[in-house]
Amino acid sequence: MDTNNKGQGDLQNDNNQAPPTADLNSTNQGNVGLEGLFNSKTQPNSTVDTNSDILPEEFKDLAQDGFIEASNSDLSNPADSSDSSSTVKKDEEWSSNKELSSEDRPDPDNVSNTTSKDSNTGIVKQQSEGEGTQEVREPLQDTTQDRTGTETSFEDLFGISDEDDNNSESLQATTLKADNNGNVSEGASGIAGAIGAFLTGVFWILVLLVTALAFVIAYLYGYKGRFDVRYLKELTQQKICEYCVNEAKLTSIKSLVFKKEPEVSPSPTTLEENIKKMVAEQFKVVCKDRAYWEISFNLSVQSNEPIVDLSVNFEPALEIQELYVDSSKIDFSKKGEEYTFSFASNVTKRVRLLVKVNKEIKKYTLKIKGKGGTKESFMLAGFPDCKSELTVSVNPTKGQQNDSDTLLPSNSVSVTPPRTGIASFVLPAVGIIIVLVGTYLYLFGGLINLGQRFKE
Amino acid sequence: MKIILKLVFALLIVASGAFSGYVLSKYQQSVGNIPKTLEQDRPSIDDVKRLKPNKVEIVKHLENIRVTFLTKEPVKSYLVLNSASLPFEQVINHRKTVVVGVSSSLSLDHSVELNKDALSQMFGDRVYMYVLISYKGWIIPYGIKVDINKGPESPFMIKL
Repeated sequence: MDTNNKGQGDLQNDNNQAPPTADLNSTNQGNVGLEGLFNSKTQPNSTVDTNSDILPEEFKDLAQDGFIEASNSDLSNPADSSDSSSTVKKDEEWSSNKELSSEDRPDPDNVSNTTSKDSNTGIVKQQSEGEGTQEVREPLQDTTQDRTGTETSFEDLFGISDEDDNNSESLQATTLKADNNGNVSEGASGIAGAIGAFLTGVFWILVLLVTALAFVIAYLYGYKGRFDVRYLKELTQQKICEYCVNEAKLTSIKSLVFKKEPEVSPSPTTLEENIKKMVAEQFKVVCKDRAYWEISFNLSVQSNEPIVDLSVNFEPALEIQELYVDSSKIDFSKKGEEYTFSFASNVTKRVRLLVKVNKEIKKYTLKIKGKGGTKESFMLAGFPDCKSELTVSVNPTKGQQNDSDTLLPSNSVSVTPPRTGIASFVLPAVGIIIVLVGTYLYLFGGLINLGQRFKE
Repeated sequence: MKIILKLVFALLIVASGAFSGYVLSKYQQSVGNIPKTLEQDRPSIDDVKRLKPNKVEIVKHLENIRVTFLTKEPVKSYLVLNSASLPFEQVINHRKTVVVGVSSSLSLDHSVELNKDALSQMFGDRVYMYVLISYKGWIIPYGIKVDINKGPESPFMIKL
């Protein structure tokens, strides 16, 4: 570039003796462009020739003191800057992107500009007469023109669409590597990405399966109060004994047969005389919820018969929903307010009665008796509201009892109050909060990761 | 960090599944509509195989007929008697069926003596019998020929 502009490079400064203040670090010796002004580059190896006459006296002193390290040659040899990228400085008069010395300032009307564009790189080279070359990078466009003038899309050429450009992951997932021979092969990161995606899918499928299993187990546990693999067998339709019958059905047949034809019974005893002793103890009342209570107790009946029929009823009347003997659900018949069921004798078993209660009644009397009325006992118990502390008094009532040893109720009854009030709301609320927090953390972690990717 | 978050989230999903199952079961109970429960302790086919009585013997002993058999596990047992050779489903509901207790408590050796005259008066000269094993409140029937999946095909016969 033919220019005599030195130092600061002020185009309006014809004597070129301006002190090199702000432009000492500029790469543009003699010419100060936009790049030099706003994005100056340092030349650490440059030094200042203090003997040069170019520098004013006051700067010579500074240079001798080592404060100024700009090369005098850089400042005094503007010809070296001809190869550097040309810069553009706004001129008040021209408002042109040219850099010209004041001496060579041409008439604006006589300036001829030549602009050429590299179709492959998108670099526009702008050349002015006597000005050197100026490159202006234009953004790549999706379309280009071949020599035939046919417009070919960028996507056709490179197989990459705008959507692909937006999908940074897809571009990152496929890494192409070229060997020394120029052969391009897909990198290992593509395989690793595929394996990672597969493992992620397997992981979430396993999570779903475990969740389903946990749901089933928790449902059965919550419903039955315990979990047994047998439940899963039934759920999965595994083979169970379809022709097996409930023992209660069998005993009802037996008693029917014995009643009709007692003479063929191997046992000479009859139901009216079969119960010798009956013991009920260890009462426990569990409030399932406000509507249902579970009353359980140990019951043993001594009899000559292996199975005896017992009847229970409450005063005031209570509706028995379910009846269990040692965790086995037993069928029962209802006659009036009495519930009759069969019970194995000479063995102590836990009897559980699921009853529907009336909230307004605080005390009930449970009556257990053998069929025929020859052995009858009473148990008086107070059943409080499920909310309050239980104060139960268990008093054997003589009544029609023939033998004081017939029923031996315990003097204490324990009650497990149900989860009511705050507890019934706290547990679901805690669960929901845990799920929400987990979702938030997961999404937040994803956002962090996304942000990191953007940074990269 | 991302893996930990994934694991935590997965655990939360599993926990929420279990929690929802538990809550659902409790909710069904709380509304008062107790659903039909699964039949607890219904024997499986493996139980039927395992509890099958062996060495069933029917012998005449003085004025009685003695029926004995063994089981591998201590169980209670019964006999179901009828004059006709009926399928078990019909026997259990037949009005002339007689159920006899063999072992009222858990036992490995099972034995009962039936009065010969009473039996002949009730059933005639032939009595058909199924062996019943009591298991957790359920009755498993066995005959002289048993299909494990379909039940006893033919009962034992006692010739008086």
